[in-house]
Amino acid sequence: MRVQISWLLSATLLFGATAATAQSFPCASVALEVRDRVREAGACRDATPGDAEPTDAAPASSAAVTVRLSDGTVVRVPREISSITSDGRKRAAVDETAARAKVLPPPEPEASGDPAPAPQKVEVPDGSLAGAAGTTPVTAPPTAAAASSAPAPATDVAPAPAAAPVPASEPTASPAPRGRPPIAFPANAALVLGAGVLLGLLFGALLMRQWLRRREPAADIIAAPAPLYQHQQPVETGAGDVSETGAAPEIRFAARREPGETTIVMAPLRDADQVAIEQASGHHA
Amino acid sequence: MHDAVRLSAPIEVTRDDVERALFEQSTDELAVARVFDRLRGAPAERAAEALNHALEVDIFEVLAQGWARVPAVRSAVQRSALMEVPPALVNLGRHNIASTSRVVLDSSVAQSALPPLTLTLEIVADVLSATLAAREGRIELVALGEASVVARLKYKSVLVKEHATGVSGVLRDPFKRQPSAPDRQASVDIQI
Repeated sequence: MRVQISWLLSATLLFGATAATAQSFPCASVALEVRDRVREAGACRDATPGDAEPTDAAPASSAAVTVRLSDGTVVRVPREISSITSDGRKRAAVDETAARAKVLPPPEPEASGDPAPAPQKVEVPDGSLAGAAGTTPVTAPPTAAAASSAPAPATDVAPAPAAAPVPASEPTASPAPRGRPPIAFPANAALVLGAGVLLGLLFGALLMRQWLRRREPAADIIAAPAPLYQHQQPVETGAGDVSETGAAPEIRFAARREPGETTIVMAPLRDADQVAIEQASGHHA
Repeated sequence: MHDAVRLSAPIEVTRDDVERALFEQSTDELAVARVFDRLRGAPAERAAEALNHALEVDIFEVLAQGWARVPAVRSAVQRSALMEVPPALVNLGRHNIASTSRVVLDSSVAQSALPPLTLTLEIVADVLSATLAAREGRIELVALGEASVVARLKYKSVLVKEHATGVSGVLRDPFKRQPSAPDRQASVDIQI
């Protein structure tokens, strides 16, 4: 049992360590000078649609969210504003849609070298492509409708007319940050969770150990063989023909012989002196 | 002299004999049937030891009880007891002496007594000849011819043990001129 508990603890520790180390930091948090090298080394991970990635336009403010209004206008608002206006339920829906979205690589620049804005296309689960182009920044009303319209634009964008391209000076980020909740799942959370699990398992193991210790004395009592019989020498009783064996206190035996009758049968006589009685002479008692 | 008279091989029972007897008893006694499994094995071994002590038969006593029933022997003994006369010698030809006695095995399990196991011991002695002396109201064995003893231990009509042996430790008949055959030292147990 103790070996099993040790294996369980070891497996839990390994699981917790793996979960803690698997949370690599995003490449966006790496300095621009070494980001490529770090990415090639695999020491960081690229921003997924659910991760917040700071844009070049606003490196200090860390993120801006592109929001498509109901009339098709695409605006970029600070993430803080977007998160404030989003409620939890709709935010979850946005996350799910954003997680399934796959960012397509940007198209090749035109041969004319026109630094025209390169609209990014977002492939949504229904197969349609939603073009996200830059537009004139407009202060978006922090309404819930604007922030929670993430799932709807995915379907509404396709029939919508091409929006104004985003200026090259303001490169838009991938649609991922749109529904990104402000609270990212940090590695510390995994550590805390793993530590909690470990503490729980440790507490359970201690309880199990105490329980086993309580059971050991009872098990020893049960396993102790109880001698049923003790071999002893037969004990002769006072009576001549009676013997008693007091070997085990549970089973006792005593045997005796009671005399019966005795008969004698003489063989047929061959002659008259079958029984001869002689008087001894010369012997006196 | 009778102290030297003994069976060549004592009558003994084994654990299997006791278990067989207990089994036969369990068919008649429900109380024994209930604890029969507990009586087997080592308890039966101890019961056999107890029975063997009870089966230590003094063969001279058995023979003397039979000889005392012979009128000539009885009168000689009575006369020797009443008068100071020289010992009377009685020569007996071939005869058979049969003795029947009961061997009782009392047993108790957990302070509860079981019905006693009552066995019947039959001893049949075939004596070729015997020379007795009556002295002071007692029988003395002067000489004993060839004798064989068969002992049977029964539970009711079921034979539990049969034992055949001889008698040793006695002189041959001094009145016979021809030499007698030596005592049979070997004993044969007849397995049932």
